[in-house]
Amino acid sequence: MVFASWRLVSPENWQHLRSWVLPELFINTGWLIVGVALLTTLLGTSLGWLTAVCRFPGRRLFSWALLLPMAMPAYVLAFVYIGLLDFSGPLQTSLREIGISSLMPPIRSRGGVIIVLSLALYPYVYLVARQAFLSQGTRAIEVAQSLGMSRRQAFYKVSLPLAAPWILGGLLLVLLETLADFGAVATFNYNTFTTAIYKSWFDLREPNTALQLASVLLGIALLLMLLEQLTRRRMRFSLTHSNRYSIDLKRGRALAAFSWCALILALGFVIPAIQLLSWIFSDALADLDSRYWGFALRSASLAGITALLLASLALLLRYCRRLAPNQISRSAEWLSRLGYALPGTVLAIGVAVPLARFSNTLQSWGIPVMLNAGIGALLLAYGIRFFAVAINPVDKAMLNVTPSMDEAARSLGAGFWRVLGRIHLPMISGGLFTAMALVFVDVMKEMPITLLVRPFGWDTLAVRVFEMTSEGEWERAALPALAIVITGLLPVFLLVRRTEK
Amino acid sequence: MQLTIENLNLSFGDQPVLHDVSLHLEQGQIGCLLGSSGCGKTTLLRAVAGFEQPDSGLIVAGGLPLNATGRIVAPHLRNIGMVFQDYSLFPHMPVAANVQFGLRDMNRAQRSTRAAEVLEMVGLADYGKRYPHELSGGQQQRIALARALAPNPGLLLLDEPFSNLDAELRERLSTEVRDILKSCDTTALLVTHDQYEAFAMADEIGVMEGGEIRQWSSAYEIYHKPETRFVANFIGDSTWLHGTIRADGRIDSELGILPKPRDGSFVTGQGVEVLLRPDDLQHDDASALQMAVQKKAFRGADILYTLELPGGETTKSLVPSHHNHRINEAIGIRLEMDHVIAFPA
Repeated sequence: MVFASWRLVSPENWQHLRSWVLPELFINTGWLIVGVALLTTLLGTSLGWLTAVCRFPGRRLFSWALLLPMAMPAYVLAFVYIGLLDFSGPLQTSLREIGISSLMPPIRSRGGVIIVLSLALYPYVYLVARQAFLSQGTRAIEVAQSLGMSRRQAFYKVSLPLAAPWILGGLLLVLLETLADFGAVATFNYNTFTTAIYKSWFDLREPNTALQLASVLLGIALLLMLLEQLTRRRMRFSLTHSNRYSIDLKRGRALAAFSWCALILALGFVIPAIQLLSWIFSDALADLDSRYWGFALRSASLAGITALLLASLALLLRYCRRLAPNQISRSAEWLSRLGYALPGTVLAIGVAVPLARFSNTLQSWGIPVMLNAGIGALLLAYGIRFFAVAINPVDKAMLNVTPSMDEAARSLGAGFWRVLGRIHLPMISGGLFTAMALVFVDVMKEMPITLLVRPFGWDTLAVRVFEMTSEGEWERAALPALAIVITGLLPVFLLVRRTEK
Repeated sequence: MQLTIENLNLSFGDQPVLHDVSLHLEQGQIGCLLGSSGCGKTTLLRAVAGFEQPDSGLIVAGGLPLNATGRIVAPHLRNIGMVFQDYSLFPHMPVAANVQFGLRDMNRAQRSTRAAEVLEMVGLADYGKRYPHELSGGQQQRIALARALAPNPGLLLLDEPFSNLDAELRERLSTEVRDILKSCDTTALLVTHDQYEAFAMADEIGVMEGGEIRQWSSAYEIYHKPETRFVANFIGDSTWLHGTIRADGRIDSELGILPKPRDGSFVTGQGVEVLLRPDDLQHDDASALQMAVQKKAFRGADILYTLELPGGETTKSLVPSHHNHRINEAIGIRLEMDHVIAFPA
């Protein structure tokens, strides 16, 4: 759909885009991608290696606490840091009072966006890197040492290359999220494709421009997705579980490791969380009124409905594939996974434009419908974007039910319904629950789709955050943001429970 | 329950898997399908269970045809139990619930009595409340057996039941399982690639190759009276000795004159290959027949010597372990062949 917009391109318009808008967008997006990639790789890999392999005080705590920033959407982190560090923020103000203001680099800068996005997104790399280092165990290092390498050499020649495909996989997810990010860059007034699409759609009322920009962004995202599929193929070589490998860190090094982990945890979660709370208690408690509960209720009901729909859909698709594995259901699944690569803004426009045209057509026939602003469109867009989130846990749970379990139950005299009720449903209920929880939280956090597709007046928590931050009222954005962060903690705990097992 | 399979053919797509398979088990007999991987033995088992559909042929269990055209009996209605290679215990249920899963027609009290009974039988009476992941491999294996036996199936199928266990446990369990099956008088058909397991458990063994049963008979017959050269090579240690049929039917060989072969019609002067088992060659210091030791493999109670035949080829002999000879030393050998097995050269 989005690509089809090229038919409608007027040459002058495109000329204007190419010479005035696109260069800036490409440069900004390019810097953003390179910067975030470098910084998240550095953070994720170093933290993952430290908590997986080294022994130092606080390691157990850090190994799960470092996942907490996942609960903090990038746009929340963004407005908290701007509020904290901007010219009128408390830090700058107090620095000016003692006369050393010029030392502070401005937060609203390219570096600032990169740091904030990296703090929000490094857990994706951290999670997979840690898992890779944990599971490669001692064997590979021992083999390298027996072949005459020092421990340091063994790390660079064996450990790191073994973990590399995983790290790369996590990194590509980070980059997809970076491309898709709208809230954080908008708060920073940093122009990227997503903000440009939003502006041309909402402020300039130029749907065709929006569509063209969206198609460029889509191209980049698809390229990344393709890369992700390729690295996944390389992850075939197995990591065998053997004894845990660990290095005891002494005094100075232990202190350094501790400080590094503590610094990132503080920057990524503790400081922003405290700042949110202090804003709420000092300025925004009055906002806790019926309007606020309306935002919360709308967020929760949208998230709940989407979660329920997607979990059932995932279950249905899985079941079809189990009963009749064929090419069609497999490619349908691959396509549905593609949805996750679609940036929210692209998807929103891809859904909104055809529906708007369709309803215009209907209205021209005298049928009064307002499909373009319907809840249905919103759910459809959420569904496409988050289906992959729902199917993964259902998939994993289904894997536990081996075909021979079906057969065992059948050979013990159980018919179809008894197998379904006694074996399948109890065994996959955990996976279904996880799927719903993950989708729920993702929808709660989601900003650009909700902004672009929601029906008039249908404001959610995320929309409220956006409105308050675009007016610079950080204190009043804190309350809805906190609700989002608290819900976001749920999947983090699910994740922690699974990895600590 | 008797089991009869007649001329069974089965293919996956255009790939034939089973070809013209027939076998018969009496009530209470234990049969074993023995073969290397890919020979079709597991497919045959799954066809009996009803998880694969044969193209043609008949499976009859307890007088009831299971796959007559238009009246194929569904797996859960066959009254045939199965123990899977990976045990396939239901991980979300405790052991007792696993064992009771197949007991649908009973009330609660009867179910728990029966479950306790079979758990007692496999020696795990106190494990009813545990979950499968809390049990060792050997215990899971026994629970799988108890679960399959609980509904009192007329026929029990076991798919490589001991392959995930270590050697010692495998040996102990295989005799235990045989005793349990015999005490319940359950007909059973088992699949394995381990011939010693087959010897330990089975009344009848079917050696399978390329989707066909090459020989269906007792362990003794399979070892000592193989009907084809493939079976002779597949089972036990075998070496071959060249020979020529004499006018009186006996065989001229470099080890002297051997008795008349048991089976087969040979003509005078025909070249043959004679099967030599390590236990056919007895060590005897007094024997005039001397062979040089080429290799030796110490096996505890006995030593397996590889000996050089006069013509330069080798054969093997199993000798009690206190006859410890050096490499290259010549030792006396006496042939002890109750039945000579020969195939045309």
